[in-house]
Amino acid sequence: MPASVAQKPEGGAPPALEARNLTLSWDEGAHVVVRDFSLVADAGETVCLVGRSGCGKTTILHALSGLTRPLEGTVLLRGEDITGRPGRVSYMLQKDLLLPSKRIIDNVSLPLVIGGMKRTEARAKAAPLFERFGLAGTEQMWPSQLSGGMRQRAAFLRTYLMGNEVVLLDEPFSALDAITRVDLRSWYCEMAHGLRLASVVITHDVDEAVSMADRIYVLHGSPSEGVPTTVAGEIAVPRTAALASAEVDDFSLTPEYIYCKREVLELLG
Amino acid sequence: MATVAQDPARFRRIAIPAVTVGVALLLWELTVRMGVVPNFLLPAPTQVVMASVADAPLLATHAGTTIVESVLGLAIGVAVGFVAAVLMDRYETVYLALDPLITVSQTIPTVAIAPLLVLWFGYGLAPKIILIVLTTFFPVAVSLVSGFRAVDPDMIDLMRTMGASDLQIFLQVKVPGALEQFFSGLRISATYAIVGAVISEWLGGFSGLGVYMTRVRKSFAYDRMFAVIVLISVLSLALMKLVDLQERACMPWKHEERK
Repeated sequence: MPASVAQKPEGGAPPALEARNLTLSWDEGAHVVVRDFSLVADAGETVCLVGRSGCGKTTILHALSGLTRPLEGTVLLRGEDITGRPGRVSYMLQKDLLLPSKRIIDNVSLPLVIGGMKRTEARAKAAPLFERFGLAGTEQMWPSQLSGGMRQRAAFLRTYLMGNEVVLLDEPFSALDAITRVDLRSWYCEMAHGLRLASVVITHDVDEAVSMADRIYVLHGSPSEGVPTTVAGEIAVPRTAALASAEVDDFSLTPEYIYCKREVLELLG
Repeated sequence: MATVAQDPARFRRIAIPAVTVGVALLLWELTVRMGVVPNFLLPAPTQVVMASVADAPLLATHAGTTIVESVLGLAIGVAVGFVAAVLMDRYETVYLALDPLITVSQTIPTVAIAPLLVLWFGYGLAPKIILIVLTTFFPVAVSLVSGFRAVDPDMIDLMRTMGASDLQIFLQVKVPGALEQFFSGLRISATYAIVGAVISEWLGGFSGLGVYMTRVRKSFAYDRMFAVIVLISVLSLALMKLVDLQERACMPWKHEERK
């Protein structure tokens, strides 16, 4: 873990990931896509960004990951400025992007090898995690031999082995069939919570956002028509409270779920 | 793996072209034997086989020269093509500068520049190697450039979020991603290599299948000439087969996936 540079004067440690007043553009500022976007995600927390297609969700993740530099604003990792510096937060896309030329064990341990670890050492570090990620027995297989759900699990393991506290996920479940999607989603939430990861998840599926997130940022705007995207509202999802008071053990059957969903839909407009 | 006998589709794939070749050879033999075409103009297949056997030691010597030239030329051609492709992929300026030149260079007929090369570089190995390099680097460079460029830009972004350097991205993603295209280019280059060697030998040299071919043609020994032609085909096929075997060894994931 890198030492955090700037501790806030009051209050505890700075949050795992914080974005302050990001203004983002395509083509070097000629076309502002996102204006004044701020976000906080702490360890063990899942926050979702919900917005219509083309509103600039992926542009935001690119900026958070450091792949692009915002026109204005800063991205802080535990208080340290990482604006425009890739390599400090993990990023996972909708596509699993497994390399067809590498066996699963080598695909998932790729971040370790990139980080300078010897290949045998990287394999040894990745191998014990296969069980936990539901990948037992696939170590020596090629990506083309795996189903979509299994490939995505491998992509999760690779993302995890990037070794960062913060994980950015760009519609990670949308390429999967409905049943696999629900299974993998609840598996991910449990695992991310257990590992105390701070997850930022993009989705255009309101149900997915409400069932996964601790907090939802609803985005509004249409950059292609010249209206930059802004945060229309921030909704805390009272999952624990709802489950404590309800007789069901499925959050999606509680009144709070419906209430949250309606609120998100209203903000989306 | 299923044997030929157990797999009807595979059996048909081998049997049908084999029958075609067999019938063609039989017709050829009959045409000559029945005197439809004068024998001094067209030797029968059996005569070609006999000429090959009789000439075997001589053919082997000449083939040795041709093989050395081809393999050397191909190796240099592949190396030049690889370097050109890497530079063209890395620097847009190099791509813009070289792309039209490379394309134009391929429209110049080999047969036309071969005499010039002999004039400039003499009867030795140099003009042959240069001609082979000129013809073989192109398929390799073009296929590699398109292979490098076909890599998913999202994959490159992902690598950058892992903190990968340009060299790591190149070695881990671009090179394996371009292998398939590379080998299809190399297969074409391999056939060009043998043909290029023979053409440059026609125009001057001391040994090699092209030199030998010119000699037997001048002495009207057409059965021997056909023997050389067959040998050239066999060498080209062998070199292509070698490329295929190399591809299998380099890309195990492509052949294991259907298990």
